[in-house]
Amino acid sequence: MQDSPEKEMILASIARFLQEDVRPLVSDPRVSFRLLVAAHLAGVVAMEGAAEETHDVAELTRLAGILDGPSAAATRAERRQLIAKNNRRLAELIRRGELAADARRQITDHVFATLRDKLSVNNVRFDATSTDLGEEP
Amino acid sequence: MSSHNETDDLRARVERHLRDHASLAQDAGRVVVTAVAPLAGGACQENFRVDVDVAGAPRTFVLRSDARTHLPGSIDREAEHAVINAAVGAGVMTPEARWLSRGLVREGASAYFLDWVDGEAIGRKVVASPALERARAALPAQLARELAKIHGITPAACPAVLDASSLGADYDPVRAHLDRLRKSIDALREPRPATELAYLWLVEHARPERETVLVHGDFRTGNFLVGEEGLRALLDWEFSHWGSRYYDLAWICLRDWRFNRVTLPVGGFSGRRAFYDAYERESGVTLDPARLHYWEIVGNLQWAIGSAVQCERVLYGGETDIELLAIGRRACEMELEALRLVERGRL
Repeated sequence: MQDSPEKEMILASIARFLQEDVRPLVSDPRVSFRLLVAAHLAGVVAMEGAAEETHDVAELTRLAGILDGPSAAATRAERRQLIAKNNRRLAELIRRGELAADARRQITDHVFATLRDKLSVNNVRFDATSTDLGEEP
Repeated sequence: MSSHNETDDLRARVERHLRDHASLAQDAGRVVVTAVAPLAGGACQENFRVDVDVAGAPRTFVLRSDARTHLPGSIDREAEHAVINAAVGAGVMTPEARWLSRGLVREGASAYFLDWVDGEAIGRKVVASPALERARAALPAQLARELAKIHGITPAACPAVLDASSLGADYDPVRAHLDRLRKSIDALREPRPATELAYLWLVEHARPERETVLVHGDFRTGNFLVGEEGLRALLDWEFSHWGSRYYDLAWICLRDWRFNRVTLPVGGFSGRRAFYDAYERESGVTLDPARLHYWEIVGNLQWAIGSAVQCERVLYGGETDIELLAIGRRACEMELEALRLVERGRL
């Protein structure tokens, strides 16, 4: 285990430095916008660090249920490789289009769960649970 | 990003170009370019603000050039120049494109000039700025009117605007668009089950359309200029194509273009009814709600794929822009929205 500071704190510190100290000094609007993007990404990586294992294990478990494949991996790298391989198989299965209703429901639920996990890291402000956004009064 | 010297070289080239081609002043020697500065935004082209002194009077232009790389579905500045001038001819509120040239900004790249129009285009300001409250009330009807004018341009009437050679008598813009989406999904390096699922639904629910019109292709908040009184100019024609009017009508409602005002589906400033009713009045066309729903799913899926494509330009294409990299993490937003609309079954 590393000494303090923890990586989340380092990333938060990078984000604050970019936004508060560097951005006011930048006059080129393209660079200024990219500084905001960079600061946002530092925050995303911090969130991902905390949630990655939980999300990836859950995704692999669901994929294994759909595709009848292995759900256990010894290392992070192995798990990521297995998820990528299964996602390719799943994408091909959907593309062929011949899905029974219950299989399609299972796949749809899995896809929604995966998207919600991704969004909880990439954009905390995105409401990924409502089906009705209250768009039309 | 350009260095100081590059910008100064560009200033000198632009000055020569305007003196030779623009006939801004009787004495070309009195056309002096005082500044050329890069503008923010535009992942697919390079835009500059050009300040000119014309015989003592200040003028400002936008110089728009092809970028180094080109995105699938985008047209080059030469084609864009033709589209804009067809739109201007139809009375659309967009600045005329002038003085088309090649090699002005970079070897082989086409570029043209637009008159500078003052106004706000930044999406989050358009939807939220207190100074633009009156404008937001006027925008639905104003935008509907402009869009109806654009859609009045047809391949039969204006075949030279964009290549119309593939548009046979049985051309179906829905089928053509699905084929383009399929190709762009197949070109992605990484598998996307959510994208495949939304695409499957689109294939299963496709209903042919018989009409083909000029489509702006990126008609949304962020791509038009707004002043206190309302719309000032439409911008960014690089995704123009012959296609379905429903493409533009749905695109402006994509969740991402609402800039966090999700309950106001038209660009983050209006309900759908005000915009679509105005469009029906202006165009004389009765809109089909099922098609609007369908094309809003198309739009979300297309923007999901587009986000992944932008990111792959960094991962596999040698680009280094952090903005492109970041967009890759946003594809899941559009995938979720596409599938939310599928599940919901209506707008």
